[in-house]
Parts: sequence; structure tokens; C-alpha cells
Amino acid sequence: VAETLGGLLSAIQRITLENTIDGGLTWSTLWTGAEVHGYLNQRLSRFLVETEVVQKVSVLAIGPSEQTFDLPADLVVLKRVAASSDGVTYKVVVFSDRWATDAATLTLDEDRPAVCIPEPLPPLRLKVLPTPVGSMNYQIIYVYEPVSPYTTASSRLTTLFIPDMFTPYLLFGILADMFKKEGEANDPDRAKYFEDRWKEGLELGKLILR
Amino acid sequence: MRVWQALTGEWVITTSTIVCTGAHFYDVPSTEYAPYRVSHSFDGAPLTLTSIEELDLGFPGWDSTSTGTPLYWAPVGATGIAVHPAPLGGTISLESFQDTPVLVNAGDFIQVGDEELQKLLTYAHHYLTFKEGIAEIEATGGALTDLIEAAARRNAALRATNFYRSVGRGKLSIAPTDTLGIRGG
Repeated sequence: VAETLGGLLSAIQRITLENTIDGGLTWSTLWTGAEVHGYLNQRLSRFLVETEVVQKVSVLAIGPSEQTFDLPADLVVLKRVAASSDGVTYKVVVFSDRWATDAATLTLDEDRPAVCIPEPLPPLRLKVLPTPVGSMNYQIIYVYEPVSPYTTASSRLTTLFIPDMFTPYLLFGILADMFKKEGEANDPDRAKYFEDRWKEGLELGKLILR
Repeated sequence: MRVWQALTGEWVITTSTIVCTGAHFYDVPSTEYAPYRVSHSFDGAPLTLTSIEELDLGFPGWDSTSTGTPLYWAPVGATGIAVHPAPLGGTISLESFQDTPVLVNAGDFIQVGDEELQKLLTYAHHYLTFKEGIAEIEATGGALTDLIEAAARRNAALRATNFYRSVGRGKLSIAPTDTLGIRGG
């Protein structure tokens, strides 16, 4: 049984001795619901970036002569790009950067681009070189975040999308942030303990893919 | 128990099958993660584990038109796999980690040995001290060390990690101790 958002937040409420245990809806004056959800969303994103446990394959259909195009909105880390001019035969498009492509002489491979450059500016975009003449399908493998950031309005019954064995470590990361907060809630000793446990979870997350 | 599952991969599932459609990429069923053994119904023999990068280097264009009985598989995160060549029929079987069983009723069983059950119970006590303060957490820190040591006996890969080595050398901020807490446990 996978952990739900409400289950995780109730566990946090118990550990922080909140007066009300209700799946993270009600918080005392030490933290607000928006703060806790902010910690949750940031830790989830960091977990995905560090461990890359949640990936998917997607195909982008791009029109003729398009050199730069948007990547999916749920993309966190781009892992692989392959291009196909006929939708069947794909060839890997290697990652490069502006310096290398400035100095290189690049040619199309059966109308497929040779290299791609992930644009650093939002919205996340990808640039391919040389520019293909015809329409192109790009098959991408990427680390993704399956849902929009959780808010206080999110359903408490929503199942967290990371493997359930890592939800305790997500809890540790959120608690570390909560105890780092300046003010009455500040507890640096417990914050350090939970930060260490969070790092333990990151290492285990990486280990599962080896 | 979820921490134990993350440390050891104790609970696995071997029954799922994926119907092959001629594709190279398949999703792992939603309650399973990180397959470690993949076979095809053609002969049931395990496919050779490789990686996407190695497939790209060793078999350029592998994810295009090559079809046949699959010989290799590569993980796509913990939630997907790629196979090569692409099977046009049959089914793929996975052995994966599964969601951790959750105890609900008083009569539910924990499927672990007695020697490990005590470690889990002691760690549960350690977990309960999270709400109290660092003194209680430190006093029961030995439970965490014991749990990780017990897990390392089950999981050779765990022994190679930095964090396990830091535990073994006593470098964790939590001092190993056999006490059950300053309140007497």
C-alpha cells in the first residue's frame, strides 16, 4: 500500500506534536500549511533530481525546420534524445554545448540533427543542430515530476508518486526543513539528525538503480 | 518497515507480466519498482542486464526496427524498462521490489525472521523518540545503527555505500548505544 499525501503529513503532525492530526490541513502557529507544502515540494524535486528513480519515455512531434522547441512541462532532467525523420528509425542525438558547437562542423545525418543543446532559460527548451529540413520526431527519456506541486487544497488521498519505501526519507527531509526554520520552531540538533537521514535516503535511492 | 525495505529490498514480487507489442520500452506496473530480473516467455531465460548508454554504443539504432526474441534489458529509472530486440509477441516477466506491506489488524504477520524482528521493534522505538527531542533520539541511536548493520548482512550492495561505511566507522552523528532510551524503553 503506497503512502498517501495525508498519511505523510499526519505522520509529520504527530512528530511535531501538533494539536490536530488531520492529514496536514491544520497547523499551529509554528508552521503554516503553505510552508509545509513548500518543504514537501522542494524535497520531492530534490529527491527526483538526485536519484532519477522516476523516468519516462515520450515522443515529441516537431514541425519542419524547427531548431528550438519546448520540452514537456513535467520534465526535471533530460537523459537521452533520439531523432527520427520517419517515426520509425531513431538515432541518438548527443548532448553538446554552445562552445563545442561553435567550433564544430556539423552535418545532418539523413536529415536528422547531430547534436542538441538543452537551453538554460525557462521555459525549458531544446535546441538541435544542424536544423533539420523536414518534420522530426524526438524520442526523449527524462526524469519527470508526475503531478503539479502539492498544495493545501490537494487531495489527502493522493498517492505519493515515489516508491513507497522512500517516503520515510521524504518525511525526514521535510522535518529537517521545519526544524531549521528561524524562530520558536528552530531545533538545529533535530534538523541535523533528519538531514543526515535524508541523505541516507538519497544514497539508497541511487543504490536501487545500480 | 519501509526503511527496512529501502535498506534490504526484503519484499519482492515475481508474478507480473507485460504483454509485448513490438515496442522497445515498457512501463513497470505501478505497485512495483526497480526490476532486477527480466525474462521473456519465449524461453523464460533471464535477459542480460545492460544500460541505455551501453545499448546506444553497442547497438546503434537498437530502438528502431530490430525485432525478435529479446536478449538484453536496461532500466529506465525505477519505473520502466527497455528491451532489445523488441519482442513482437509473448510476455515479459519481471522480478521487482514491491510496495511495503502495511500492518493493519492485530493478527497481521510481519514476514521477517525473529532475529530481524527485534531490530525492527527497537527501531520503531527509536522512531517514536522523534517527537521528543535530540536527547531521546541520541539515546536510542543504537537502534538505527543496529538496523543498518542487520540490513547490511542481507544486502551486499549496501555495504559498499558511503553512508554505511560512515556507520561502520562510528561517524554518524548518532552515537551507537545499546540503551533503549533515557526513559527506560
